[in-house]
Amino acid sequence: MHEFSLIEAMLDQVDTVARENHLDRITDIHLQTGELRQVIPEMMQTAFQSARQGTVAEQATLALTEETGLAECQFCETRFKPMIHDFQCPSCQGTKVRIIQGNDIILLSINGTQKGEGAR
Amino acid sequence: MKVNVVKSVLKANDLIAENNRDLFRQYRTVALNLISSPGSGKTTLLERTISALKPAQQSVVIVGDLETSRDADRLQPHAYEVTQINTGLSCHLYANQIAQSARDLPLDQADYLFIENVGNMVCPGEFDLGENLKVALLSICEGDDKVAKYPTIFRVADIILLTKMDLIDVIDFDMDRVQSDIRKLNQEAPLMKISVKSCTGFDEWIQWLQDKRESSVGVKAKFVET
Repeated sequence: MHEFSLIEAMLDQVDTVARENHLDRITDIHLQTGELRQVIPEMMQTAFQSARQGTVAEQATLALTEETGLAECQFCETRFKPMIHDFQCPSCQGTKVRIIQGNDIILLSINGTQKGEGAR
Repeated sequence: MKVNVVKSVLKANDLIAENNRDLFRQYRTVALNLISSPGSGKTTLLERTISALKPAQQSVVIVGDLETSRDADRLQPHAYEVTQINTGLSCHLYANQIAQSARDLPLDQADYLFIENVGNMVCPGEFDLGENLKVALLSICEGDDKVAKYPTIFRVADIILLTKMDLIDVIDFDMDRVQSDIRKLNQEAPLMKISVKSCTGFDEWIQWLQDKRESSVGVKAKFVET
């Protein structure tokens, strides 16, 4: 269900970027999803199909790239790949970690056309 | 035309959340975000908690639900002031809703702001509201498999409350399994077993709140001498 919330937040941002760049029709959106966010790609596409209606991205396609999770132990500085249900450091078994990557949802780029311009 | 953006989609929410945190700091109000599934006992816990903190410490509440003002109606007799947010189709609260509601709340009078999030174990963990502390609840009726199934809120929580402990004798609940699952995610957060019916663990929870208030704001209560 959180896919709908994330898509809505993404579309708000797409709308802002489109305005700033005077784009009136978005054709492609490229989104990077962190592995640790537990985003299901099919659910993202379903949410997008429904939420894009009536927005500047109504006819856009959504490309998703997943970023692998990476954490660093705050005690012994070991870097490791955490699992969603297991953040224990493999060296010292601590769980106080800093997430280095894989915990964000990042709008990488959008592609669109400006008024009076054909799609490229 | 291609535009490279490379910005977190949660950035807009996070910026407002930071402003909220600044506001709470200015007023020396400790804000807590309560996250759990519907029916885990958030409202009942708050009814008792707010009453137990009075009269020395005052609380205001923002409560989020899809529909109705039932929770606000229940909390109104206990809290200094309560604001209900109806989220409609949204399954969690956003930082801007907290910003708007906080404007109308007497934060200058409040030692605590309790934010009762929409009952949901997933999305509320994604959206920072500007709280100082996250409280995750799991009622034992929900089953001992939930920590591993919905790990994020337990990983990011500052305290984990196992609620409805008065039912422990009539429910098959493997406490070792839950504790082991939590240990893999979060060894920093205290795990408290509580029941507001039998008062099990309740004093410990109140003590934790007061200690956190003192350590984060420097004073136990705003009007402790009056």
